Amino acid sequence: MRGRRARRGQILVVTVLIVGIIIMALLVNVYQMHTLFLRTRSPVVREVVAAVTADFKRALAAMLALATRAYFNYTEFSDLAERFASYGMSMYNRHNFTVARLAALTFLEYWRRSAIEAYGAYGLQVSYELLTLDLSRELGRPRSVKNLMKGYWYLPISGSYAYAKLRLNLTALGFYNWESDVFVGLTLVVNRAPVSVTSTNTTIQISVRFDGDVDTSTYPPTVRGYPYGNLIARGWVRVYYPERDSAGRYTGAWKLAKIKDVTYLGMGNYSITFEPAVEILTDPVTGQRYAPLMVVISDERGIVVEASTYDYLMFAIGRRTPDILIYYDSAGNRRTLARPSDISNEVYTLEMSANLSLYWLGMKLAVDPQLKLPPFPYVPIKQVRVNVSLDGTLSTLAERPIQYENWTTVPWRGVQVDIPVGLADPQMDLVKGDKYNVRLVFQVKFPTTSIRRQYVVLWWYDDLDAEPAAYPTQIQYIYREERGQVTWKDVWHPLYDVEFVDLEHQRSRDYHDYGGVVAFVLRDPVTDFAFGPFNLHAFDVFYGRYLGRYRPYGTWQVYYNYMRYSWIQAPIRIFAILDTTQVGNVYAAGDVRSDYYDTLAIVQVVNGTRYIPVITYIYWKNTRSGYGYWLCTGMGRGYADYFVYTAAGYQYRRNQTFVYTYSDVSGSPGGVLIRPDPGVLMAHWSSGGVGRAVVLNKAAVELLRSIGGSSASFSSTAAAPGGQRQGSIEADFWPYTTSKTVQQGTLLRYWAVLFDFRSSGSGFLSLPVSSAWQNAYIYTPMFLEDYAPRVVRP
Amino acid sequence: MTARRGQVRVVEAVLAVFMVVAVVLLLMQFTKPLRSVYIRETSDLRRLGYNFLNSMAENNVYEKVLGNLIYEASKRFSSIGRCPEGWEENRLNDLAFFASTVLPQGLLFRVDVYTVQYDLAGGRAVLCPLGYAANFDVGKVSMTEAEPITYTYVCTGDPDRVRGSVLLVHLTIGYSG
Repeated sequence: MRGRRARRGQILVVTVLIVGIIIMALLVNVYQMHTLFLRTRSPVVREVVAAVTADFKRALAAMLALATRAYFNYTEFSDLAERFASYGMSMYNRHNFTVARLAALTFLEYWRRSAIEAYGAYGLQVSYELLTLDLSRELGRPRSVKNLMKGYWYLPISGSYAYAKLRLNLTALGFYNWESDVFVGLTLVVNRAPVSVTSTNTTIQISVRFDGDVDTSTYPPTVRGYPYGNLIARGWVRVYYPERDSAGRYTGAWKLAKIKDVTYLGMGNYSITFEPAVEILTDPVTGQRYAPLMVVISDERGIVVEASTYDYLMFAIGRRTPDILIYYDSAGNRRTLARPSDISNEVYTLEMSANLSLYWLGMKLAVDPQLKLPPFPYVPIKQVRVNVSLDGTLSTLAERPIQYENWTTVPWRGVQVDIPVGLADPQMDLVKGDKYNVRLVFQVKFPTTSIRRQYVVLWWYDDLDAEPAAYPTQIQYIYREERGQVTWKDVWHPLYDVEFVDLEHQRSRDYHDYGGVVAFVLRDPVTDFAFGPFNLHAFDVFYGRYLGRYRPYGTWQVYYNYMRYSWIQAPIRIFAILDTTQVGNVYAAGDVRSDYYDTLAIVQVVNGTRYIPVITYIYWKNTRSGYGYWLCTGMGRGYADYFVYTAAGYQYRRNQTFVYTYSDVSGSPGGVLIRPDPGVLMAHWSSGGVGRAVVLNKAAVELLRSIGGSSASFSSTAAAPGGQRQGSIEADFWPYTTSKTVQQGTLLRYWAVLFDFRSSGSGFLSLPVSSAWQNAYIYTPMFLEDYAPRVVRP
Repeated sequence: MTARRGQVRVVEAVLAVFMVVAVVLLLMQFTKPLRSVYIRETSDLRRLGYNFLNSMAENNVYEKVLGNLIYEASKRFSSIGRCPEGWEENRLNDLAFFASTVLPQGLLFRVDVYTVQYDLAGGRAVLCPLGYAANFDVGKVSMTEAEPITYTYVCTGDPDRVRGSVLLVHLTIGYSG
């Protein structure tokens, strides 16, 4: 019994041993298989992951190159850009980083799908995530890459960047959840001041960095680029300098410098010597010296960066209007008139052209010769902004509305004429053109008489994604058709609604049918009551009537919004252009002629002001004689009780002032008051103290005299043809009672400004109603050539 | 007496187990999986192949050597909507020359290059062959222990007319035999 029990114990021991041996053998075998698998798998995984990651990085770089090259110069890099036109990267979208980004995302999606197919044997699954990467360490200002790619250009530290987190699995190799921060970038740092300037050469220093390690220990991750040492061998660099005219003034254009030498100084630093010698300027705010230059670089991947050595243009606008005005009363006694300290209606709507000229009422402003304004960089218009001071100090220098317009200079009847051709395309470069030039329109206010000058800073956003700014505005274009008829072609302004009547909109609402004759009717902005039209020009009378027969006949072209950005209304002014060779007769349908005079007129309805400038060009194609010739007329529709005009100084004293009542007008022969020697101001107003003035510029006053001679007159008509009370103000070369001749080839260039005034209120003196005209008079100088503002050093 | 014999047997059994385990381990050291040489060899070939393709990528060799063909193929695809025909038989001699100078002697290689055309209208990616480069007569000589390597490449170098083009490269590398 005992022997059997002992044998059973031995069998048990042997069984345990055998099982143990088998388990150990299996474990060893499994371990060995695992190590073998890892050893054979790791090179494949490593290589495939590296290949896919590197290719994704190349894809990012290619798309960044596409976006930046198209942005910089689509035409030059059309070999690349045009191949991606089907992705949306067309010439039309060359300055649209949003479109470039969409093109890149489309490309990357195709790339992702084709990579999955290409590496299908490894079971590749790949995706990417668009995250934020902080660039503040790289650019020295708070900036980041978001939504795949960004460009920050046109400043001394500029760069182009793309960033995404790549994720991939290799399911066939048992490899999962690989993540990689993929970043491509190129940073350019241009030293503002040159290293040296000789009589022929300039030497500057730049630093270039590329890509960089993404530091994920912070949120969002940050990056610092590696020094780029291949600029000479594999990339390129260009330097642009500003063109100057023979007087040494900057023209607004850029020229490509001739690079004489590029030396690599190590750590991504380069010294660049180029021709010519460049003038060194001083920043008026910081006192920092800089050479006005643009530097553009590209690396071997085609990524472009554009930097400039300065980030704004600064100047000041000096007010030149007198605060004590002199006039003479009707008896010839000298009077002085002090403006109120509140002159808040003195708001200048200025234009700065890409050729660096500044304009007011189409007149080029005098610029202090000491003021050096370098050109704008090759920056798209949409990125440009303006800061203007309010109290003449830097402390109130803040962003104000800006409007971008496209102007051209055309020969018109033998003279060069500047005309707007619409609001600008905000995505185009702000460059000086031979034919077209963009004008940046902004307003400079002088709220009190104590302020003699205001600072203006024109600057630009570095973000290539910047959109044109949409500013609140009180003016609005209203175009409406009812039953096939245009019933509204108006620009609404809080002080008045301007209804443009023309061939397209012939019948003024609840007023007259103009039969295609061009005018604009001032209406009450609340009740829509028509105060009567402003007539641009008129010649001869109709069958003995006292009202002008041949007036401009055609169609107003109204410009009120931006190309592409149609939802952005013109924030500063809406303008209407008339260019016609015909004249027509309000009182006889079909009496349209092409053998009298041509008209070119620009009317501006300006936000935040009380004035409407009307710049007019008239050319006489034939010699004509007729009774009455009017430079312009402002009708009244009976609201006016008082009338005034100032004398030009040919028959009376200059600015001798004559005030009339309606009974003076209605009691005049034929119901038309005719007075000689019209000057710069004529106005009419109601006993309620609401008035409208027409300020003629010096050229207009001189034209009245040179063409009309001693017949030049101010007139006012008491009644409309139907007998209704009218009460107009009219500037006549000669009145309807006189017949004279105007010669073929006579060319008239002048402006008239409609000005809305009150007998009291903000920006006005508190006056008795009979003297309300003085509130127009205190603002008259700002519309005259001799008192135009001056552009000075800040 | 009986108890002592049992203890001795247990000790003997433990010793026997140790001996058996030792022998098994010893045998396992000498017992490698089948074709282990082949595995080591192919992993080296793969590494070599990727190094070769990577170095060409880093030096923009594809753009320089194949730029005209890439441009021409893309242009034709854009205009006629399909790949140029018969290009798979093109001998890419410049590429072959470059590969011959880079890869070790004694290795055979064949590089087939395709452009990947993204057809946005059709929502597809189309492979257009540009040709192949090889250092042997592909019709007569066969490769042994060959390793296929797939590589994708987005052109980033000059000229602009090929920048942004996408290539698919199939490299087969191995030994004659």
